[in-house]
Amino acid sequence: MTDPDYTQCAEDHQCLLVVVKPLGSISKGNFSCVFDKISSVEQATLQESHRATWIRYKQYYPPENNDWGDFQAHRRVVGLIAVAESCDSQELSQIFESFDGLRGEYGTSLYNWRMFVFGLTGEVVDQNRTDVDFVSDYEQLGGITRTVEEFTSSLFIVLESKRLDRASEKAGDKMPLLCVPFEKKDFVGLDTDSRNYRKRCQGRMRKHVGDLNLQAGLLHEALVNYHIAVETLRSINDFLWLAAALEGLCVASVVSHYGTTCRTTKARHQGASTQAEKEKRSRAGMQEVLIDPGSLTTNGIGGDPSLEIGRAKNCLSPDDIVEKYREAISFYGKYQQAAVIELEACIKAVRVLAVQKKRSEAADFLQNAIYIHVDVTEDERIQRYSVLSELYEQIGFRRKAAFFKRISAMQCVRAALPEPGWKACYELLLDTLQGYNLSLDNPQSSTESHHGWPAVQLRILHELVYSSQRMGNPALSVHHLTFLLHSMLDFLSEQEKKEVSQILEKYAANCRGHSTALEIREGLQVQPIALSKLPIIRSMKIINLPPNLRPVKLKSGDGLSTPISSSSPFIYSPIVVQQRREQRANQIDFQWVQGDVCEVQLMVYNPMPFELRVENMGLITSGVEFESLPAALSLPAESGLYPVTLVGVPKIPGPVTITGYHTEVFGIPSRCMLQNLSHCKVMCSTVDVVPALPLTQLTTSLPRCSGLIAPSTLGDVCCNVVVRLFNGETQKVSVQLENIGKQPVESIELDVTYSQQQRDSGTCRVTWDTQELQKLIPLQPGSLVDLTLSIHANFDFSNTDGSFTEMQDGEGIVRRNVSFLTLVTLYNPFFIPATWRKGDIVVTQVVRLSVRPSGHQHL
Amino acid sequence: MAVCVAVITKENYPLYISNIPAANELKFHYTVHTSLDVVEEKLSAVGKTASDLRELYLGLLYPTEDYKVYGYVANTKVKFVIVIDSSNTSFRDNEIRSMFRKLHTAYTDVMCNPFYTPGDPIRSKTFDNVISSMMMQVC
Repeated sequence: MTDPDYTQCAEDHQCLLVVVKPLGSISKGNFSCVFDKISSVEQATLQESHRATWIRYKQYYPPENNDWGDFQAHRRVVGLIAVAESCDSQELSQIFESFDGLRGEYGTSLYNWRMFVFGLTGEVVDQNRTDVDFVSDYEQLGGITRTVEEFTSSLFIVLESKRLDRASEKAGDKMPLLCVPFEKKDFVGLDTDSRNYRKRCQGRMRKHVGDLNLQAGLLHEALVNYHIAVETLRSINDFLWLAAALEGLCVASVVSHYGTTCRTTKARHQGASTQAEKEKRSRAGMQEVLIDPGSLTTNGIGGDPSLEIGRAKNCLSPDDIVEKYREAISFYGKYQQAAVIELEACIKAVRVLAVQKKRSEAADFLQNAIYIHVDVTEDERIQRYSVLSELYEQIGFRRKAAFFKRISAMQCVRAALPEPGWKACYELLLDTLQGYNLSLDNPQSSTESHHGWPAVQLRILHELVYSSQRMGNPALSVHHLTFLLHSMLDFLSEQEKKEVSQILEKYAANCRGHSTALEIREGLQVQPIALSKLPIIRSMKIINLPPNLRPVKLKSGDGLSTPISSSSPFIYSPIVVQQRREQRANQIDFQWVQGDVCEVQLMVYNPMPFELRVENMGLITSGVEFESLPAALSLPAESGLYPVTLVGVPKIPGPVTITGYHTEVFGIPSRCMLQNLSHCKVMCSTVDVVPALPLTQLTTSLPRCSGLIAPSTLGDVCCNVVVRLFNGETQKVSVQLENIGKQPVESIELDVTYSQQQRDSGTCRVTWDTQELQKLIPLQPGSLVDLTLSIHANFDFSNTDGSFTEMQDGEGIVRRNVSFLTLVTLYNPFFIPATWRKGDIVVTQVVRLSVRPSGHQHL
Repeated sequence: MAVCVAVITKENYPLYISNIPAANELKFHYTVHTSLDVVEEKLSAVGKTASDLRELYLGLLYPTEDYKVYGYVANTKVKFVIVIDSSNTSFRDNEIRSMFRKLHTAYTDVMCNPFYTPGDPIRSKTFDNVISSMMMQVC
């Protein structure tokens, strides 16, 4: 016997085996339709009794296995159904020939046979073969069911007759010795009259009768027969058949304990065994079904309570089942040629134990099963390991199941194969991920403790990447490699980090990473991975606009001296409502302006041991439309916190919330949301954007001063110019005001700030013509106007202490000096937003002119 | 002679794995990883009967062709797994038990170190010495 049947379970022992084969030119789809229809007939009943027997259908069954039919009755093919399609009569005769040939293959074991021929209509129906049914087309499958039912009843009848034949043989009769194929030559020339020999014959025959009883549904009798057979064979040490009898005993007990509820779901999944086909059998949990004595009306024991006693007497308890199975398998182990039987017995035992939830014993059996050396072909190894892994899964040993699945995946793509099945390998590897505690959906962040074994997981991920690459799906391999890099970053050595990033770059050059959900296979989708560790963002802060560009809220137009908050009706209230500290700390009390370049500062850290190049780094925002201008940066290896500034331009006024950032590293784009990052500190991420404000620029033709005086307030953009005046002189200074923004300037206010000294002494006056000023507005974008300021110097020389020094020339003459005043004008030469009209609050940015003297005098 | 020793936390990830010979480490990773299934099974099985009188030594977990795998669970659910070469059949049960006891005391010493954070991989030289003495004692 060459190929083990991995799908067997203990209940198969009570089934009759029928082979269904396609003949002629029938197509696969049609044949599978017909096969399904035929397989739906699972039980055969007799008219007179209410017993039923079970049928199982197979599409492929090697004839050599038939020879073991004496050993175990369920291995013998008792029925043959052929399905053919034909269009004319020549083909028909060919089909008949092949049908007869098939029948011949299975020899004398067939009880009955049938053939269905599709596609022929009326003219050749008058064949004189009663075993052939002509069906005109595929729509009439209902008729087939009836025929199959009749067919199976006929099988049952033959079975019954055989059983009664055998059962009625007395102990003293001469009976033939049942043998297994490899035993046949052992018994040639043996003395046929010795007691030993006769006992052997009897024992084996008893066991065979037990088999037949089991198939016929007579559990009680089967149990009795098996018990007798066990006694007999044990006394003569006929180990192989003793083991078979023990197994039969176990099976009968299993059936009587648990019933056969799993038959229906299992039968539907039996089909041709293809390479690496994983049979996903979802069994309904088998519960222990107590057989109601009233319902079992076998002929001979008609529902009387003696059945219950009989059952208790002969049936094995669940623990005994395990014991006997163990014994049987150890006996099988003595015979090399019975390796396949042993393997199948192990698998059946494991299934039974899985139902009984005896997991460690089941694991023992499976462990044993691994080491049975069966000569299997390469293809079957894959199936073998898949089945092993499935059985482990049933017991609940997830890790072992994953291990064996991986082995079977490796078998799919062995070097010796002419055509390695990379796709099958990939599918199998995907299934192992759960056993290794890897989940493709959410890569773990580094702060949690890592679940699982890093070395093993790395290996699996590498294999996944390789197989998806060879499978020809580069998007998948890029995704998996990204996943590897992200979730295993802490566990990779330096060398490995470099290697993985290089490989990732190479793959990503061919196929960019995906940015939407990728479908790996049916029903399994993965989201793109956010590489939040490359680089690591430690904090994010929203930066205010530069001081010269900040919008300033003005009080409302009529300029009341007391500040009235527009929302409250109280003029004065002793209760001061204070905002809570932390709220205030978290809120941003500045605004951004629409159309201006606004900044966000991030502190980043590069964890890789080599220079990391980040391209296309920008902000992701929600709220109003915000155009983010991408930046590219290059971070040195393993360097500490770097400030990185990301800029953007808000396009529409309203609140803007920074929700994340996007980067492109190694060619993989990734979008990281700030709420998912646990290691990033964000003070506040929402900013209000105010509508666009006009921008103005002031220039002048006065000469610049070489940086004598520091600006008065920090952050003020200032430009120092010098004007030299004599005492009493008035000079007109021309200043150009240009609107370089996109909005018209609606009002201009000029305000002059004098330094303290000057205010006291009143030395200098800057005046301008307000009428002229009013004529300038509104200032359209792009237009340039002139503004004239007149500066008048008025120094009081009566107060001479300390404001200037006396200089003496060589003659010692103290002269009255003429002092010059240096006028320093500070203003913003760049952009000034001038008005912001929002409701009734008018905001104007002031142009500040600040005047200071320098105590500077020279001749 | 012990060829591989592993210490596993109760969340089932490894704190320490070392093996002799140093090659083929991945194979031992796999062996120990799959033996966790059997350990868990034994834990849950015994837990049903008597929860306080649980024996710490689990015994032979499963045999493979070349190796035998033994397990031991402490009361804090920290698991120790020792893989032994099958060619060395002279190992008796008592010897294995004594090996586990030594392992357990070495582990408690590591835990007592105030600078050691539970859950981190074990990087103590003393611990390494104890392990290597166990692994090379029959040489």
